[in-house]
Amino acid sequence: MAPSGPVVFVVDDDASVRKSLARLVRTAGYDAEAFATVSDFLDRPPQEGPACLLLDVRMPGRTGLDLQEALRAAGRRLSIIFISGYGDVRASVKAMKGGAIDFLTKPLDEGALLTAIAQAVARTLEEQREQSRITEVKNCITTLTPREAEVFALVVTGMLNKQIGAELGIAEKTVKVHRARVMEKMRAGSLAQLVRLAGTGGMVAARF
Amino acid sequence: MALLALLCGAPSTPVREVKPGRIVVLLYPEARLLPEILAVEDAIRPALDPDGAVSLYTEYLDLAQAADEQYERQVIALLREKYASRRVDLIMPIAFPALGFFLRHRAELFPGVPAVFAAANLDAVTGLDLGPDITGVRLPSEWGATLEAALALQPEVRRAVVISGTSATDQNLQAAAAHDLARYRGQIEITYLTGWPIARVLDEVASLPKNTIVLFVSLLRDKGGRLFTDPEAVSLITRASSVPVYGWSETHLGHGIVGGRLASFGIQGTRAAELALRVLGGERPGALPVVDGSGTAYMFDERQLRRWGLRASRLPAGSIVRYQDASLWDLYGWNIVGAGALVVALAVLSTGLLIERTGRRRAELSLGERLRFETLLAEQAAIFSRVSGTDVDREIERALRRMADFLVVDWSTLTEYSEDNRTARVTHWWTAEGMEPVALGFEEIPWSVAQLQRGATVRFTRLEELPGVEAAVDLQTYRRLGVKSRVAIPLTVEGIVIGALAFSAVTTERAWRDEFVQRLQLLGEVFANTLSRRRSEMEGQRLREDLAHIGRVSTVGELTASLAHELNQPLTAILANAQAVRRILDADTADLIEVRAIVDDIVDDDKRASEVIGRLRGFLKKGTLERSSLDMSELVGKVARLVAGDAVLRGVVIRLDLAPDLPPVSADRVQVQQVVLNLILNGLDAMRDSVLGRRTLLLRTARDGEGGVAVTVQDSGAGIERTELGQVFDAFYTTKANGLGMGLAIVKSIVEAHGGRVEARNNPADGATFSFVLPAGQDGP
Repeated sequence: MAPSGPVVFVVDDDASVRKSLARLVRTAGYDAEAFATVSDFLDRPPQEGPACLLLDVRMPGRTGLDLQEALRAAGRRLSIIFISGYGDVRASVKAMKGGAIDFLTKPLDEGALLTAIAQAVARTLEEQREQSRITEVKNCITTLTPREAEVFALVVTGMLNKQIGAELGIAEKTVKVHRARVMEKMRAGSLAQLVRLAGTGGMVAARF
Repeated sequence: MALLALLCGAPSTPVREVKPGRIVVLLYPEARLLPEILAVEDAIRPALDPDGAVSLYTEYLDLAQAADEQYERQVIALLREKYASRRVDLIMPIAFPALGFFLRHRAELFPGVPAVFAAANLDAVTGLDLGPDITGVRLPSEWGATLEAALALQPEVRRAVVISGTSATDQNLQAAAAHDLARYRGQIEITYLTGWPIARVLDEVASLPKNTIVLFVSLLRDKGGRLFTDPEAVSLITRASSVPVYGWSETHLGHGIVGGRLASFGIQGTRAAELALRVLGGERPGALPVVDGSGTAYMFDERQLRRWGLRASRLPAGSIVRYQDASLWDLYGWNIVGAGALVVALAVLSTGLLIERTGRRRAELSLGERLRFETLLAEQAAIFSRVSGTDVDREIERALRRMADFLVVDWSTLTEYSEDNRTARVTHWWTAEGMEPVALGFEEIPWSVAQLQRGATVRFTRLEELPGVEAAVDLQTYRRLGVKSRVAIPLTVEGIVIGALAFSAVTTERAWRDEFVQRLQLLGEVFANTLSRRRSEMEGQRLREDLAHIGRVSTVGELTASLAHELNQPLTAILANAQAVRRILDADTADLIEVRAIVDDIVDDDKRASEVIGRLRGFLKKGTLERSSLDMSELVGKVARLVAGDAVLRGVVIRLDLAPDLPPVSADRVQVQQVVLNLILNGLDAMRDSVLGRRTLLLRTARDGEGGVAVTVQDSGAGIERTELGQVFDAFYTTKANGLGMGLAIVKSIVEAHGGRVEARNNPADGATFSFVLPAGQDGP
């Protein structure tokens, strides 16, 4: 994950609009990459780090709303600002319900655009951080032995070591050893933290 | 999904805290740019946001659709999402339905956010609790005032039919009207046509009895779900109605309503913007009382008053009457009557004079001579009473010739003064063989003109009879032109001098007897009437031209809707590029190479925008060419005949020089006719300010050197500025104040679509020549 500035992806079928928006975004201190079609954008490897998507609603072929749907289906977290030639109640309802940051009409107001980009980048970053935390927890969980995993699952329910031992049919002392290993592998400093991690990991577990 | 929800819900710590400016959200009840909404918006936006410090968001709630709960929930969801992360400072609901929506969902959507509403009619709203955070401007119902004004205009009225539709706005305004009109129950019968399909409404109003009036409330949506704007609905209803229609909004005026006490949405918007600024400035809305009934006025449409025979003298004091331009019919009608009466008067007078004269001392003229003159005058009067249209000019010129013959003068002229009485134009003239017609400017004969303008006749047999000092300039002019004797008679219509009739003798001195001058004055009256009638006909001509122009522009208007979208792309790019340049220039180290590249792009996008406009031109030639074999000489001849009347009216002589045996051209007849017509009209327009008598349009067809057929249209107008020669065929290039600049652009498109070429050049003497060449051949290119 090479450290880089936030990237704004511009997807618009109109070459001049694409180029000029990328340029404006760059002058505001962002990196910008422009794509003519939804497919071109999807062909690019997903971006690590802060980014957002400036997306035209109406395009020949797959539309901006299609892309929004595709990103969601792929579980990719990238905040979207829609841009449109004209106000379209139906499209904007759909876009905003799909989690878009904003729905702006062309020609774009500089202030509104940059405000929306800042929000979108922040949200993307936050989501990505959250995700990397989940990934991390998930990785930690995979390092646990089956027995440790069992102990982990019961520790976070609030059971005492003695109860866990009885539950698993092992000595309380053994539970204590496993528990210490779990704390170490999960890089948890306290029981409270472990519980939180389990929550995160539990969501992941529930999902896969 | 669940994960996403969890993450989105989590409180976040943004990388960069962006502090936005003041945020104001305008809530409109409709999803359409209704004229009322535009008026409010036009007033609020510049007042609230002159320098971009306030972010104005606009939400079109589209409440004209059926009050569908699911739809309303969708809208709420959208607004919640959209404004979740924004600190909204002020809500501005426009019109009652938007205010109602806001009040219903306020706790959920914008808790604690103050609001300033505008154009909300609350007259029939009960149990409304605005609370301390809301103020605004009420839209008053003035139906009582309107009804009373209507009854003053039409005292016979016993019944009023009130029309309204089914949208939320319609219902709100209808309820307000009913509330307002309730107190007239005993006075007149009131019928409500509420929520009918438009067809039934139109049927109903078409056959209302005379003692009825129609009150138009609102019809944004009819029973069948058809959507209208107020002007649309008003136009439909006023066109169908058998009785006068009254309205309540300024936006109805001009669409067929007689008038009423009308509300101005612009003023509503301005007042609301004032309140909004105070709230944004920190004042509590609760401390600002709701503005009541602001901005209404009695306004009426002159044309409708006339249409229904209503007397302007019965309008309420302080009424504003719009559309006061004199109607063609009025002027024309008056003149028909006027001319008829004059014939009778003249006949009586002539006979009277004849009888009287027999018993008196014989004048210098023989009886036969005098009889001839009286007969001549009577004939002229008769001719002019029934002559019309294009014959007028021919008859005036014939009359001038006959009079000049009789009076033995060398030239006779009919001069028309401009409406401001500052310039004169010779409209008709006759000259003896070998004489050039001369138009005398005001500055050349100032004394004579001054006499004429105060209604006095100017006559002299010898130049010495003129007052040497006062008429010094006149004398000089007459000497230069060799005028020996002259009589000039003012032409007056209703006491206003509109021109002069003059006879000048150059070869010999000529005496002007009183009795002649009297008769000439009678002839002057005939001419004055004819001229004034002609003026009104010209007015009609102008009207027709305007209509044709509007027709063309509205076709263009339809195109504009789709082109606007296409224009939006380059405009978006231009704006973004310009903003980028501004940022670069603001930075300490401006990269001039980058700036240069951006400016190049701006130029390119601007060109692209022009091309979009150019496509408009392309659209006009859309459709397949229906080629047939054309004889260009025949075609040009026919088009020339088509415009002959117009040419006469403009004092232009059209000359034809058509080659007899041209090879046929394979082309679309209608389109080529259009080309020739446009070139001729262009030529006629170009000579608008040329000296009369030198307005010649020469149409010529010939073989082109390369085997094609060339058509040239040569005018004697002002010519084309050398710097503009290259642009005359460009779309929207025009030198005319009211021109759209499409005529020659269309010419070029059509000719080039036929594989031909166009050319414009200036003539060696004066004027310009436009030509086009089409390739010869049966099959075309």
